[in-house]
Amino acid sequence: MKKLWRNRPILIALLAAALFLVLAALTVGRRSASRAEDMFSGAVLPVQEAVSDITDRVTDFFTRVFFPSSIQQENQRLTKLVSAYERRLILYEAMEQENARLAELLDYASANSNFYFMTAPVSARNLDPYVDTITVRGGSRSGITEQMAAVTAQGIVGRIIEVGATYSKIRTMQNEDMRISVMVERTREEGMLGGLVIENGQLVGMKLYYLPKDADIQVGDTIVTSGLGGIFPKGLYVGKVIFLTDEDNGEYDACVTSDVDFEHLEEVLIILGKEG
Amino acid sequence: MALKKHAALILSFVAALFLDTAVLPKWNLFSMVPFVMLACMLAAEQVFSIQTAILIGALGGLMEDLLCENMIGLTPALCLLAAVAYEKLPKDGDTKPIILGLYCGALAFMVELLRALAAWVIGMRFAFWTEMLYGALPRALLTGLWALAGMALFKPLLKRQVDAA
Repeated sequence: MKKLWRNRPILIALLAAALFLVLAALTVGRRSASRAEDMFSGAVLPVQEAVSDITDRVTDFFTRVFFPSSIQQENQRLTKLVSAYERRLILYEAMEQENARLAELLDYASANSNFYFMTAPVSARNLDPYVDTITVRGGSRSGITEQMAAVTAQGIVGRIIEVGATYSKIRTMQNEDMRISVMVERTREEGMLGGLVIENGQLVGMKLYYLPKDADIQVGDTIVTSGLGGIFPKGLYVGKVIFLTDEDNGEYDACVTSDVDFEHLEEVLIILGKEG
Repeated sequence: MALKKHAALILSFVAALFLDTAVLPKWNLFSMVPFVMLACMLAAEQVFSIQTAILIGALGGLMEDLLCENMIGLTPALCLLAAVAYEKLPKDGDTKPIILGLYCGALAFMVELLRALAAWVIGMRFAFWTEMLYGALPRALLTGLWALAGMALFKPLLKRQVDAA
């Protein structure tokens, strides 16, 4: 055999080639690997993968060195794409929030179906730290007139003090001069809400006064509009009592805080009228 | 001892195996991927002997097929046919390297042609002339260049073996 290998290598090569061709013909179109293939591939593949990984890194390196412009262009393209997606995401989030707010207003309007409402987006607010007026889109052309009430699902916002053709200004509950006739929902005792309670430079709530001397009022009582004065319809939620003052104080009887987030208002409901 | 004597050859064999199956397919420069195992085999045949070439062609081709091909045995068969053909080509000690390189390139082209034929036989359809002109020919020429590089690498090894003898 050794002699044959030395003297007749061509014959051996041709025989081996023929055998390999037969093997190739037998293995055409196979779907599953043989046991020998499995063993060989299992042994070599980890090394092959490592080599492949190194190749990728080397390729990346040379691409960066020799084709920096292509990387730069790709980077710019991807940056633009990310910016576009970010803008779209912000838009979606804003729409989602708006949807939630409008759904809340709709619930409120449905619960008070005896009133005609109009939704007015807030277009501006003054820069006063104790925000006292806001401007909304919608004016006389939309049927808004002065002294109409503005509300949200969280309570009363204020009343219309100025009306243009396409805009209106609302004096909010946080204005020092605002006065509203209210009553304690539990006891139906009436009083007046107006003026701000400020402690250490922070707005705490609104003053409630003119309650009867023997009024039964407690912390946590709900305050609603009484309907007197003709601006705010009766029974609208205003806020809750957060503390009572001393009897001798005399200035006001209790402090009421509103649930409305005046600094982040985005839409309000204007009460255009009442059914009937 | 024999392992140490043929260390460069074995390393070249392993390098060719991984270049063909893992490295070069990723650097696909206009489909011009040389057949390094074939180049290694032909270089070994030129510098050492046809027996060495047969061993490299059979083992290397089979391993590459086991790793990548679905026709196990085609590559070693083609390599062995190329080894036999190279043996029959007219050449002696004075033959210029460029001629040897062209021989290797021509044999590499023959291998590509036979591979295309095998693909056609098993039912694959492709643009033959386009594949030959833009794929097989550049690949064959590059394989010839690799074979020349292999010869330059193996010659000092052979010289050391002769000196030692």
